[in-house]
Amino acid sequence: MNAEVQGEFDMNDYFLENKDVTVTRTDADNGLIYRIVTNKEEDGFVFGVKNE
Amino acid sequence: MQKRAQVTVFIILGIIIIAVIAAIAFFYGDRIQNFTRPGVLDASSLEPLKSFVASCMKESVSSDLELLKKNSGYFTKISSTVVYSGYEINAIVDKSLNSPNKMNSKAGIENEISRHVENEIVNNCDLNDFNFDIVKGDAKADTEIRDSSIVVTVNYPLTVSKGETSLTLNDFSLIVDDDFGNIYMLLMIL
Repeated sequence: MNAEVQGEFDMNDYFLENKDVTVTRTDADNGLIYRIVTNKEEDGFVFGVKNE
Repeated sequence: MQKRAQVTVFIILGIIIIAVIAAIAFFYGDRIQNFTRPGVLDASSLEPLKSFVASCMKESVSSDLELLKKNSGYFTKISSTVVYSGYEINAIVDKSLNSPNKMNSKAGIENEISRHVENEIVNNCDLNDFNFDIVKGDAKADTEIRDSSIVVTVNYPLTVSKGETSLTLNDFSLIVDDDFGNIYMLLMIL
């Protein structure tokens, strides 16, 4: 699986080798929201990271 | 001479009729048998029932996957959430806690999918439309989240009777093509 990174997400070997995953990041009121989309998952997987 | 020709015509007609009957028996023998002896059950007559149970399983798994993707790998809202435009989204990392990792375990997700499938096929999968007497046993499901698919196997004894014949269906399985496993693995890396 390949990855393309958007929104200042850390690059790593996984993403370099995998080009069909897109991770987008959005600022929320008390943290961040990420959405992972693959070629099979158009709606994507959504999850949050809550700040301290 | 004319008499011999008539006999030949009858012989040819006879051969054609026998050939037609043989062809019908070959291609439609099972259906004719089922029609003339409706009490006879065979594996092929249970295929629609098997497919129907599998469709109930698929409905349950698809609905679960939709929820899991919307709720950060959970089925419902959890205590740690991130707020965006008034909406709360489950946080799988909560930096305000001593133990920030809030991710649902893969085994926990698999178990919940299994329990939902069991509930769906026992309580919501209506088998009354089938023209059989069906005695249901207890369902026991097992789910495995693979990289690009979800595999669900269910042991669900169904004793199906029609007339004097009974057959038992036990095992049902389903493979749903889905990237949830890959995404879960990616979350671990992130």
